[in-house]
Amino acid sequence: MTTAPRSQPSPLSAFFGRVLHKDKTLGPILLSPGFVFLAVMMAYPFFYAVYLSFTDKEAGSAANFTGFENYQKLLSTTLFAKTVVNSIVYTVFALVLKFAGGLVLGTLLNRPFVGQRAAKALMLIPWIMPTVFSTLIWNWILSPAFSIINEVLVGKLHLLAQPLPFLRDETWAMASLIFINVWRGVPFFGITFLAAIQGVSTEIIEASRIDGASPWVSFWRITFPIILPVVIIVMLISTIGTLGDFDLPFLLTRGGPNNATTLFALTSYNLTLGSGLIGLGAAVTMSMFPILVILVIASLLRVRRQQDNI
Amino acid sequence: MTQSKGVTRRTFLKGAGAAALGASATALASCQPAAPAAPAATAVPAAAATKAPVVLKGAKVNWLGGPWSFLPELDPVIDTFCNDWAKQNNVTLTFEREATNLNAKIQTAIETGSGANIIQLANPPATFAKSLADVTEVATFLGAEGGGYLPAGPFQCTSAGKWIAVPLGQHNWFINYRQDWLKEEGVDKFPDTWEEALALGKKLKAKGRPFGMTLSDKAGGDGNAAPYLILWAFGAKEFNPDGSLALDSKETIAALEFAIKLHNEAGDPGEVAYDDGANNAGFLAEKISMTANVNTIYLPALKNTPKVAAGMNHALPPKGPAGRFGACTLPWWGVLNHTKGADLDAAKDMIKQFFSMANMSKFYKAGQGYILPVLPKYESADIWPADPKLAIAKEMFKLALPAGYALPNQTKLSGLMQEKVMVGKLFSQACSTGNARAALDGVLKEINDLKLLS
Amino acid sequence: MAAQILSSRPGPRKILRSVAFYLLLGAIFFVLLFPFYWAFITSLKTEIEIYDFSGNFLIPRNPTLGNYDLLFKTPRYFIWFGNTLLVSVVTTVISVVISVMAGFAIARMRFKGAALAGALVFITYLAPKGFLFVPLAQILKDWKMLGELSSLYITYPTFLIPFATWLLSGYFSSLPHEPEECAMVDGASRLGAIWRITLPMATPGIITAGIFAFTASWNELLYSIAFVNGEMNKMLTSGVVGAFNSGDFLIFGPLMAAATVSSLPIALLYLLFTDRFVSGITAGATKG
Repeated sequence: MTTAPRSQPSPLSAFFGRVLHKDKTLGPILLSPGFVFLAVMMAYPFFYAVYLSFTDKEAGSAANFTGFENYQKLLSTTLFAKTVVNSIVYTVFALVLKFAGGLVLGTLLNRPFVGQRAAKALMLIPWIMPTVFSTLIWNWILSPAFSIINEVLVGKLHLLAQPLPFLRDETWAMASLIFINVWRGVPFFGITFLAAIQGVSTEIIEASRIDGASPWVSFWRITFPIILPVVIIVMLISTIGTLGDFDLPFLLTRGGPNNATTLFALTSYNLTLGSGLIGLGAAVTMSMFPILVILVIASLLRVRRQQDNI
Repeated sequence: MTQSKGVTRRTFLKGAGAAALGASATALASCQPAAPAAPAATAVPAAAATKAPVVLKGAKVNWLGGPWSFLPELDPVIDTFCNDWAKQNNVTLTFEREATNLNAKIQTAIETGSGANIIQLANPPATFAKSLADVTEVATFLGAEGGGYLPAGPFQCTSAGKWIAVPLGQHNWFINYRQDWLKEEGVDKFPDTWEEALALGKKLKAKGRPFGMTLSDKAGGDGNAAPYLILWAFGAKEFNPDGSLALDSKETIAALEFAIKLHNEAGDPGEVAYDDGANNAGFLAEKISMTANVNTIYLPALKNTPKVAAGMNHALPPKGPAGRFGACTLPWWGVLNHTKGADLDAAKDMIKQFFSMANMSKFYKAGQGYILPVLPKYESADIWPADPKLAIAKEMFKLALPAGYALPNQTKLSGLMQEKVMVGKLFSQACSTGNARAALDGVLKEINDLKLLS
Repeated sequence: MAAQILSSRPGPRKILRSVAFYLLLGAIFFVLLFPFYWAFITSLKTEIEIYDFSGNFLIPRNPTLGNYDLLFKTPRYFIWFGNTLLVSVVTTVISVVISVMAGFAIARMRFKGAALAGALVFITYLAPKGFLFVPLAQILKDWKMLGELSSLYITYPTFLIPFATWLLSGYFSSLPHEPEECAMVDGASRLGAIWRITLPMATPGIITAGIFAFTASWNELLYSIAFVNGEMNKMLTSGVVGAFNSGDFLIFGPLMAAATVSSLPIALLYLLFTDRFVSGITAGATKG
């Protein structure tokens, strides 16, 4: 680093000392690798993708500026309408269920029981398992011809006359997709909610209980407001992941039947990589971006206000 | 049977012939229903079979395709020959087999002008027409060697008057059925008409032995073939020869109504969502009594489930009101047009050498009817399976039509429809909801989307 | 805690609540874990038995390791495993180092644009992967990295750094400033104080970020298929799925074996770090 001769080190090392000491200089230095990386690898590609969404770019050919043509085209297709509806249905249902399931799981695990430590670790398996493999397992469980659920319900217990059409009926396919998303995400919600609940001071809760509040009331009046920032952040992270989910519909249903389970990322992938329609694919993803931005800004503001209140 | 087959072929030929521009008169003698040869703008005489004196040394070829998962023995046949060829010619050759995201790989290669040179696919090359190099010279040469392509060859692989790919062969779908179970019903062979098949299927389903046709869009192979056996038999088709969509017809509705009956009264409820492996697994597990498939149930059965192998047999697809139709898919090799100079010469030469009759006979023979040529001269070559239960291969050889019929040749739209398994989807939707009209309307809307988005 | 309050309740009601508690817990864990049991059992069955649902199919009749044998004999299986490990480790290290620096700066230093930088980092986390695929491929092509394993080293951090930075900046801002200042009063340089005092305090947060990054790399599917060429460069996920899958056709025996085997390293990692991981994520989340 120092190329100055050893005989006169003081001015230079003093300079570096100052630079590496002050917030004004050290801050930007520490920030720069990440900043440069994200600028080159994300900001540039991002603006490039925005540009692409206004062109007729196809794989292997040059891009011509076409204005809003891609967006107009998309709006006239049932595929895009379905993509939007599916994505919203998928995200809303999955988030609500993960939220409820996470609270239940977090509260249950807050009570000591034998094997709690092991349970906490085991519970995370659905979440940490590579999606490719866990989805393969669900492919096998929901298989049209060899579903274990159907074999049990129809073949063994005789509860049903007909097998359940998991992946072949539009509603069932979406329900299956949501269920697996929840199955995969609920452990993460549970473990973070648990940690947040454990961080709430016991005295406050006990005080409220002595005042005669039921556990239910004391949870919603005392505990929940305190853990709300964690809840919001976890919900936000999960909303982004769920709305932009690609792996699950790609591996489980390929968006079918009848495009009933295609989401933004998969529709874009199919257009871009399946058919080489890069401009159109970019337009599909671009159309989900405003939703995400609004979501994030709203949640960040909410968290900030929450923290200011405390 | 012969009658209806002839009619079918002829109507089909009208279209295919139009594509085969400047059809040369080479070697048509052995080819039965006058199949035109390759579009040979510059007909290459058979004498040109000797290797062209191109310098391939130092060239690079990357091969990209899907694995032959149903018959893995075929992959090494390609590898061994091509690696030997590469060694002899000092060419650097790589193989890559991608099952899950083949299209993504190809689009990446096209967009970036790097990576794969030769690609192997089964969906029509027309969807990649802009990105495929002209291989007319290679196809014409091979066509001349094999006695002039059957119509399916140019139908699949030509676009705007030139060959954009070379057909590797055809997979034919025929009826796989449990002859032993049929005999219990007092029936000796699989029925010759769909109506009789339905009556038989009802009896079998009552005994817990339903049919299992892949009437589904979750199967890129079976889904692009099995539903067509019904569609065409009822006189319906996807396209008119002039390229306009012909799917919205009373014939289509009739085909769907029949399929709904077949599904409800004789079929396995899961068949509307079968993937490519579900019918194989179901048949081998003795859960279904019939399916439409290639020989990839029988071959593994011989090894692993001799009881099933002994009890099963193969039959031609049944006849419908419009006659008897076979369905095939047509894998091909093409060269991406970012391949230039010595690499291009090498890629073309590799195809030419690998596809030569002497070599391809080994490939076809290894498949025991799994994949058949689209060149009539092979009829007398040593490629046909010895097992009498596989003799069906030779009957199917000239019967089958590819999806996209009755276009003159595959178009971008017909290619996309196969990529999305639209006819499979049509049957799946109709059979799972019981409403043929609504299913057709839904699929027509989606086809409209495909048109808009292509 | 809630449990202590519960324990002060009278007998029969307490037992009833206990029964309900264990039933509910048991049901949830059954749903969460049964798929893995079923995958494991399937992986021990022969190809024919897999599709045979007569009798008791929840226990393999003739347990066999044939599927594991098939899996491990997949040509290049261990190369794919090594690739996945290598890429996951390299991208985790790159991402965590960059994110620690950036997260520290955003959380603890006052300079022009710090808040803006923090917001921008989080905004980048919004870009879905399929979205940046094409321009990224173009960049990789220009840099002659397309098709090579190295393309993943520089593309995985695009989705790892934003999240890790955001998480770590939350964690850093939860730590007290005094120890670091004391060390500097005692004569340590700023960097020395950070290195010896603050970073060790931030270990749980750093481990959390590391585990997150490692898991995300290990599980990645889209980029590993799209940016890398050649059999030798495949990741475990794409390689194994490709080997036993022809697009629509799945060979479940070896795939279930692969599902069992491939989740082990990650499961172990989490078993070791569960507690630290949990404290890291909550601190990051609350203060972020």
